[in-house]
Amino acid sequence: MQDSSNIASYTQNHSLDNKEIERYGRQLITPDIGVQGQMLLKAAKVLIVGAGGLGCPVALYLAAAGVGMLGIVDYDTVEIGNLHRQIGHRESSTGVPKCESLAAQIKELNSLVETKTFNTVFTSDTAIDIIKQFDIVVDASDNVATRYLVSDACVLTKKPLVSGSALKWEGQVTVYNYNNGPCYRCLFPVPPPAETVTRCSDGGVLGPIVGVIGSLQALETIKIINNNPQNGVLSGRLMIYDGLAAVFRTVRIRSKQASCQVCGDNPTITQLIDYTQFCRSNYSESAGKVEDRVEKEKILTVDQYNDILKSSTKHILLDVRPKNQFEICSLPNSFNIPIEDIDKEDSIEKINVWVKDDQLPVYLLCRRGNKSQDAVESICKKIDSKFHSQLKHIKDGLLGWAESIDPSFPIY
Amino acid sequence: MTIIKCLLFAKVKEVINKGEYIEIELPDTECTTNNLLKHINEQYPQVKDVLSTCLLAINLEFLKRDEDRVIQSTDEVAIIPPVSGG
Repeated sequence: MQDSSNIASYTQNHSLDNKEIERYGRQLITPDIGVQGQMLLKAAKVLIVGAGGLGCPVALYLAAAGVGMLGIVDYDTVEIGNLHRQIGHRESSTGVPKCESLAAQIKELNSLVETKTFNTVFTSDTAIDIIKQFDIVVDASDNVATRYLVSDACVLTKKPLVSGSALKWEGQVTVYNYNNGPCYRCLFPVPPPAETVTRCSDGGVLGPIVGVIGSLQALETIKIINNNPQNGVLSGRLMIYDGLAAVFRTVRIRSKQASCQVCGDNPTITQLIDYTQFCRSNYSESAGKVEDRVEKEKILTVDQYNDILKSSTKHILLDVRPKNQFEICSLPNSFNIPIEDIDKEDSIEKINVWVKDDQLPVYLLCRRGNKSQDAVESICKKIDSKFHSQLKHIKDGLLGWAESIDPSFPIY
Repeated sequence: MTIIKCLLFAKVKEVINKGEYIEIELPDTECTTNNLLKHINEQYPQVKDVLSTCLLAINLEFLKRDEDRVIQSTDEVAIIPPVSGG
């Protein structure tokens, strides 16, 4: 038996040891990776913004592939409702900061990988200092404000950005700010109106959808690190995945926009701005409490509604959630007319019978007390004003009911 | 009249609520992307706020913002809003 110190005479041009050669063997023999590619991966530092549905597969695949240093930013903690899609967390991590939970999984998967965790909200104050420590940034966030922040910060620090997003059955992936390619603002210069943005917590999302998009982000990151001129990085193109129809489409993006406010010829944004103000939304997906938009007279609290129930006062309880949410759980004796159908003729006809013929108050209910406000307003537009006082929405909705009245009501 | 098939994605598909695509009829003399958007806004007023932030792609190539292009019935139009979830 020869002494194991002979390794140096067997392996030239690289410093991978026997354990690494064994671990990464299938990857090393893949065309266009090789020892040089593996050395580049080992030297690479990648920041992942968000340790959720996208961040988990990105982190796990990059760790498995042997990226030397992975940074993870996330302010949130693991909840049981994350686990159907956030495959880097475990039941035992409930309540643990997501960045710590994911870093622990990375260590178990590949102890050769170094991790840096940032258990903080990624903001204009913290972004640049964090990003500067890395070569490539992966946007695995879940909200509009963070997406603009990450993109601008990458332009200002000259880092390529691998961006992915997903909702329901669909996802998008592209690489921004790479080899003079466009940035997020080149495509979407104006943030969408806050009220038109659907959150995963409202619209739903499937594990394999974020899994596909996150895996594609990991792959693009590996291609960028590998730096092969023929590598066809997904820059200047947006890949759209429709998981329900099983279709991928890749749409060509015109190159970088000369008029872009941050990466164009005459940039007007030369330092980070307040993105919560710019997007009129928080650096967070969680919805929080809903603000009152309807007059006080049209608001009923869950406590007031509970009193009405106790006093057996006759009324109609109208739940305006989508049918599939109503099927999960509902208050006893409630009717369901989804918000999309609320101003349709037959719905209004029904409501008119309740308020006019039966002279009953109608209480509108939804999950958080947001759409029920829209419902009150839509119905008021369609029925006689003398019945408007009979309509009220239940503030904080079913989540408020579960929180203040009955904790046994299922929360989803 | 010319019929233009428009593929819908994400929020636009949700708000229009007519499935994967819609077909918009345009007078033969008015077959441009701006007119197409005008017709969509008229037929589906609920989509207006979302539509203003969307990208329009013709045959898998995005149009520049504010670009008005002549289109024909064989073109595949796709309306793509930003998706922010994850």
